[in-house]
Amino acid sequence: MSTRMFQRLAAAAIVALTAFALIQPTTAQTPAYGGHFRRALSSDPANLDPALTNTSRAIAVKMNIFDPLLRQNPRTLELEPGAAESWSVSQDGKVLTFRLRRGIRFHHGREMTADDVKYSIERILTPELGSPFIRTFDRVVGAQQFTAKQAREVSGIRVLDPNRIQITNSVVDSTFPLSFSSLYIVPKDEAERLGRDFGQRPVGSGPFSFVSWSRDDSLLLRSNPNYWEGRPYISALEYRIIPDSATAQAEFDTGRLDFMLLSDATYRRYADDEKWKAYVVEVAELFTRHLGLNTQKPPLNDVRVRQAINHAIDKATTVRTVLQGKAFVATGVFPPSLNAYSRTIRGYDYNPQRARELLTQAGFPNGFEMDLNGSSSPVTGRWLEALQGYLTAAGIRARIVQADFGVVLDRANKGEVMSYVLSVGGGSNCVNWLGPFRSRNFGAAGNRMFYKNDRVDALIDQAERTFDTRRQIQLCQEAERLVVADAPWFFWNYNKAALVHQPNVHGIIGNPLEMDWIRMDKVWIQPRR
Amino acid sequence: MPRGIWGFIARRLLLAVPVFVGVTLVTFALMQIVPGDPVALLMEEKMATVDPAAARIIRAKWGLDDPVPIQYLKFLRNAVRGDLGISYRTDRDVTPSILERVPATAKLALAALVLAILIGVSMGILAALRQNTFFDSASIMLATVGVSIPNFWLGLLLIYLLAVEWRWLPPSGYGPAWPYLIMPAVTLGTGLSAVIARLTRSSMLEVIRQDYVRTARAKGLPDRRVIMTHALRNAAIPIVTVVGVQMSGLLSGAVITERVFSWPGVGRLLLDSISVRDLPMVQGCVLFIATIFIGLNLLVDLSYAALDPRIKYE
Amino acid sequence: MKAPTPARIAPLRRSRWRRARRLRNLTIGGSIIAVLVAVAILAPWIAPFDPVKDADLNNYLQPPGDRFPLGADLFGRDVLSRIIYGARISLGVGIAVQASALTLGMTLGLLSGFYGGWIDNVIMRLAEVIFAFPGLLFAITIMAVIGPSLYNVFLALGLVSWTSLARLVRGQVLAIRQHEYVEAARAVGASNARIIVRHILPNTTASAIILVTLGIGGAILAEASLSFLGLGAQPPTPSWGSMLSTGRDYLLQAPWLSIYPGLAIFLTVMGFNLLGDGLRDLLDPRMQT
Repeated sequence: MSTRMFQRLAAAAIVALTAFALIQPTTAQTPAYGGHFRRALSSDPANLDPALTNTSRAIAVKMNIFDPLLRQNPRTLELEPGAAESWSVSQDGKVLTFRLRRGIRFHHGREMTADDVKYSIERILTPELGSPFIRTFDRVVGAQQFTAKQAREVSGIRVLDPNRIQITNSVVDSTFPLSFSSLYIVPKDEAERLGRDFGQRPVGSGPFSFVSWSRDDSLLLRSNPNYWEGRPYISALEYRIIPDSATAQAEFDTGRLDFMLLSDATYRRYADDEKWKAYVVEVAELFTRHLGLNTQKPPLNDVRVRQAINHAIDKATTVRTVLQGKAFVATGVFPPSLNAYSRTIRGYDYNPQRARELLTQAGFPNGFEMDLNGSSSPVTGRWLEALQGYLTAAGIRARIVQADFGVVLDRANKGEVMSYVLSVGGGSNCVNWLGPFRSRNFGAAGNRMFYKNDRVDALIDQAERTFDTRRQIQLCQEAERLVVADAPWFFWNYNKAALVHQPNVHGIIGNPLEMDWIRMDKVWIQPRR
Repeated sequence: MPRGIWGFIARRLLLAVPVFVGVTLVTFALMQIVPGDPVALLMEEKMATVDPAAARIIRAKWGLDDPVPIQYLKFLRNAVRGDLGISYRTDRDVTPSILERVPATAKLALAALVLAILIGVSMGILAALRQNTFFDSASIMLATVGVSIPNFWLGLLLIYLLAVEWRWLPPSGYGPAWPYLIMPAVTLGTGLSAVIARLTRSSMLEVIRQDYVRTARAKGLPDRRVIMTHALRNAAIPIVTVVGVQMSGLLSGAVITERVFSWPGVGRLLLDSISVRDLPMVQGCVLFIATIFIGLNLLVDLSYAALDPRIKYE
Repeated sequence: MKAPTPARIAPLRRSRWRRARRLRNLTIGGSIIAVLVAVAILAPWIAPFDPVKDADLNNYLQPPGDRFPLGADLFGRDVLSRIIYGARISLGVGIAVQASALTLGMTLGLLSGFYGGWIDNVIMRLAEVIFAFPGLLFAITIMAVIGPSLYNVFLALGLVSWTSLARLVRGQVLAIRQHEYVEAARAVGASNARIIVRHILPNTTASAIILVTLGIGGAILAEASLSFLGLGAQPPTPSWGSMLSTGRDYLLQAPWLSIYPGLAIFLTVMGFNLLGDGLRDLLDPRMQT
């Protein structure tokens, strides 16, 4: 072979080999360990004591520090084992027995026992603590005596052995087991030692342990290598508190946040962008946005007027434009992601003609005046403006009143407003969803429309007492049909929760209960080359 | 130091006491009138059910069951002992919550002040020296621009230009190093630097026209020294006055700047506390701000003595 | 110990007018404000669309083009029209706030100066506290009490803006009270009202005008800040501040929503500031505010 020939062959070989190497598929993505994960919260969690926190931001943090007794599967919404590996309900539906997993260790080293579970529940019932969750457990046998300081412990909570605990409820409530998915277990010794400080330096058993907290600035957690479900992939988790949404966007765009929740204003920008589309995670959230109509304030006491309001608004267009497509049009109370969702409910179509007809029938051919209340957040402001436009076109002169959220809630609870925009959910159980329509829940407990329908009440009571899921769904759907016909709400839309993450982030699963609640121990970051 | 200064300070501090009491009374009264139930405000928009039984217990815990005047008196009694109460929102003591945020606001305010004085004074001097030229008009125009921009707009613009587009600086956050401080300080200090620039210019122009400058020049002293020693000295008092006056504006601006740049200061704390009706925290912040202002006013008045030997203290 | 008493106005001479023409501040500022006032008055005739009613959701977030010269907002409303009508609101805010400040300030200043004693003490201490305390925070608290709305913005801002005017008027009253001709007038039987009108008012007018002009710009900026925090004009009122505030959520998707209102605020406030500066140079160069 001549030298020239040899050189040519060598060159060709080199080119071929290089090309071959280049077109090899990249190795399959296996989770990588390590990395400092940063996400944003719009305001400081304030307090991390599980008995005190009930803002979604605080829950987003605490679910990574503590373990709940049971969990809800984010995909199916079924109850699954959490810190408890199994549970059973007695024949009469009142006694729950949990078996605790062995080998769960708190961050300070001690193993979790049933005593800690009992302590966690009794804590919530302690009046000095002032927990907002008292209601959840106050129907347990002996709970009210405990809260009233007539007993030193709750008689209905019995520790059978270090790993089994039995809780007896005084009523039959099929939604009770669900409550344990929000019962986070705290270590008795540490909680007693730290007292009020526990909420500032929490100690739990979860996938991440608390490191430091610079208030209004950032909160740092570190991965728990001994976590019973396996060590988390990421080694550190940082929550940065960024109140302004425009600033948060800037932080994400410059790569300083690993994911960002999307609002109706920012959703389209990432969902339509070729570069980011693949990294947008969406889920139909379990919340229904609606306009609550106070049925005690004329003319809203006339069902025809309420139905007219439902016909007057073009839901599809508002969802497409004002909500930027980040929602689904609602027909009734239940969103599609709920097991009780009914496809056969007709709901109200956009029919301004019919709206005017109904108004005339009810005696208001020239419309009437009403107020439209909502919180002073810019997002709510947009919703109110959208509604106002359509109502005005139908002859209803609607006046927008915005105030701090608590003020709006307060006024609505007292029945001082005619209508209010709100977003409510009920978790994964349709009985909870129907809570706002029960006549016993007037006011602060959720029925701010002061709506009363005896048949609906009866149906919901029945549904609450049955543990048979199919029967429960049937009863719920019947109740929903009646509620939709009575129109105490304008049924508007269900939120499409969405977030966008950096390309090198994996494992984020959307949670329909609340997008913010992400299990960080399953998330991993591909190290950047 | 002039005589009688300790008496002056003592008298001012004594006068401060009724001011403090008055401030707490007004704040307390305002927060009572403000609509909105603090218990309801603990609940977030999506978790909208407030259980009445729980609400009752929480209210008892916060001492809201006492009649209003008793609540106020209890607060005063505790405040005198240094205990400003427990925050409704965080269940934590108010005093450490405020104190831990002071360094952030102090850093920001100081940086903005220093920036404003440096830029303002230099621009003012140069404008005065080159009076009625293009530079003069341009710098005064620039100064006016500085006071005419809504500061949150300026802040966001800076973030988008310097952080997102050009990637020179981090967008926001309370970082340890100076890159985090620049944009917030500029945003906060722009208005003040404009005011200082104009003031410096006019004070200096006044002095430049004065006789004794001409006399000094006639004596043959170099131009620069003449200006620096006499003119600046004269401008110092009005500048100090204006800084003292503008400090409240600085704090107002800080509230917005801290929000835009995720800066964990006292301004943000006060804002958040007002919106959730966290009465103890609002009281604490207001008292803190009042203390700062009384202290600052005192400082400003005292610095007059240092700058102008003609001022005496009766 | 803060503001020195303002000097009296020297009678205008021709040299001053020449200087006025050379004072660019006055002319530029004056022209901007003149345009603003014209736009505000002529709004219904020059705005291509109705700022509130012409809202077709199908035009949402239209970029600037033939149909909407400055683009359309989230509800399909024309941004240009909203800015034009917004001029009315901004002017309204500035004027209303300063009018309340003026009324309150003059009244309290007169009371303080005339009656002296404990009334004077109370009013001046109050003025000091309000003056020293961050105005925005005060306004926020007041808004929290009375609720967010445009009218309440006037009230809240007015309540924090009267102090400089009060001090100005009081100073004048104190200065004038000593004068012989006042004593003489009193001897003749002239009432307080007469003294106020003939002697006090003319001397305070110039300084008051300057303070008010500069204050209008401040009021407009304050309204923008209040809107940024969610207090302020309620939808669908087209105030520039609320437009700027809602626009910033869409900063990257639809920058025209925030750029143009921001520019409008900026130019207007600048105009008032230049005008105020020019007036100050013209009428009372030694005044320090």
